[in-house]
Amino acid sequence: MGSGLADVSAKLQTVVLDLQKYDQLLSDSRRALVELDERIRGVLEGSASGRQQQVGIYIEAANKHVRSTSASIQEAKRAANDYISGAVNPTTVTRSGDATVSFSTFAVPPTPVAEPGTGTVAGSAGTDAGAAEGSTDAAAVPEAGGGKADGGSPKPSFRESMLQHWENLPKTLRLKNQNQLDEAKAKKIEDKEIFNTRRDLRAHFTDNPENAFAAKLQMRNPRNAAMHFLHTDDSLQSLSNHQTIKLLTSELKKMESGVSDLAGVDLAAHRTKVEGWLARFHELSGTPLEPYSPDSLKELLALTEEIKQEFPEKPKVSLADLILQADPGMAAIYVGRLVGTLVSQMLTPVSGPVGISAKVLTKTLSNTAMEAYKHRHSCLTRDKNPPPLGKLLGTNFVMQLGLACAVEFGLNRVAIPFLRDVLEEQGKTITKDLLVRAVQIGIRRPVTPVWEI
Amino acid sequence: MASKLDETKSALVRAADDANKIAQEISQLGPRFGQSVQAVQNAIEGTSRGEDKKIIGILQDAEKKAKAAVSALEQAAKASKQVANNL
Repeated sequence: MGSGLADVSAKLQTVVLDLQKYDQLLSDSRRALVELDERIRGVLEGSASGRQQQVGIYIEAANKHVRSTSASIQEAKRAANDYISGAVNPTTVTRSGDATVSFSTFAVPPTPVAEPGTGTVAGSAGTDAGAAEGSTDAAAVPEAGGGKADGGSPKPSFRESMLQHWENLPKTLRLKNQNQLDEAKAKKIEDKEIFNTRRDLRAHFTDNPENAFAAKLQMRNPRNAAMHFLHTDDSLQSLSNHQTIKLLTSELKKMESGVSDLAGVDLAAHRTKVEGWLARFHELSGTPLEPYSPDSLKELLALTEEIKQEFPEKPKVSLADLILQADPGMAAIYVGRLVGTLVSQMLTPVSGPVGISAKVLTKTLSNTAMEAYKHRHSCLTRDKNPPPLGKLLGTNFVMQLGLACAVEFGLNRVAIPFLRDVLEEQGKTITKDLLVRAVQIGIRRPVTPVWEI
Repeated sequence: MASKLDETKSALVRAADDANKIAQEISQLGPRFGQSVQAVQNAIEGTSRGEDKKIIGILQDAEKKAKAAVSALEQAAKASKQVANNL
């Protein structure tokens, strides 16, 4: 054992043993006093003398004091035994100068002194190891560990303590912590991608004063407008896509009031028509992850064309705005689908009220499409954490676009020719493996491609 | 009668001797209590929760009671002898 605490325990046990001897002596004295009292009462029986009665009173007083002394000894023994037992109880015992030293670590054998002849221990002798309470069986006493209560062994370092703590954690908790670490790491990467996207967008708006859209933004409140757009870009990563679209369209409406194509449009008048489109889209689209049939795709494209004809000169976000008026909750879903349909026609530079470059618009809309997909997926699966497609794919808008189209148009029928066109226009190439991987990430299930690139 | 009185005197004297004897035995505890107090101090003096003071207080109280018992026994012996002498 060798610890100071063991010495303490041994010393106190000696004290308790001494007290036990005192008590034995007092017990003998009590018996002698009882006998003496009886004898004196017998001798002085019938005596009326005050002096004679005084003898009995003294004897009785002596007896009382002896009993009281014995009681005090018993109390002292209990206190000492409690201390010894408490030495194995965490945070129970500390010594001055050893602040907060827990004795639980040291597993001092709890060996309170047994009552004579009873084989039982006065008080409790519980231990961490579950040593029998009230038992004097040495086998029930745990082995003594190393100690440092008297400053003998060095205190473990913080790192060692934490490693030990980690090792002692339940496996499930360890996994949870590991997952949190992984998530934090992923978020860091994700944050970097968002930062880069913001940087690119900021550069686009600030470095292209000739850009009509940027000019409009700057005329109003360039910083706020840009931040709105950036916020939109960030929010597109979130679930509240319809709110994002609301924000964006609201901002655009403010900026374009009086000159916008939206001015004079009776949104209420289109409500019924838009609701009808939504219903038809819903009917045509079927299960989102299943490819559209050629017929339904054909009809879908026809419907899209019909919508386009209805608003030939309007920016696509205005279309979103119209749909928002009809069903804000589902707008993002259908906007995404619409965008997926329309995006192929937006690859050429767009000259219109918005004046935004094809690249940025395409990127924004493809983001929208993917967020719509995420939103839809979330709605269908009731998954509160839908696949972060845009985040996983970073800012590679071609990949995003490809994935969005792959999801929206059907993996094996329309997406690949479309992607091929996109890639050719962008002067980029993409390997089949990479595409498959992107799609698999996007739809979270294996893909067996039947297309040829 | 004289013999009975002598017997009573003898009984009282023996009682006084026995009381003194018991008192002597108990008085032996005095220094032992002191030793125990010292042992407790050596073992756990200055505990944060005052266990040492508690045990020492109990022991010192026991020592006082033991002294009182000794004193009472000595008084009993003295009174017993006086009674015997006055018979």
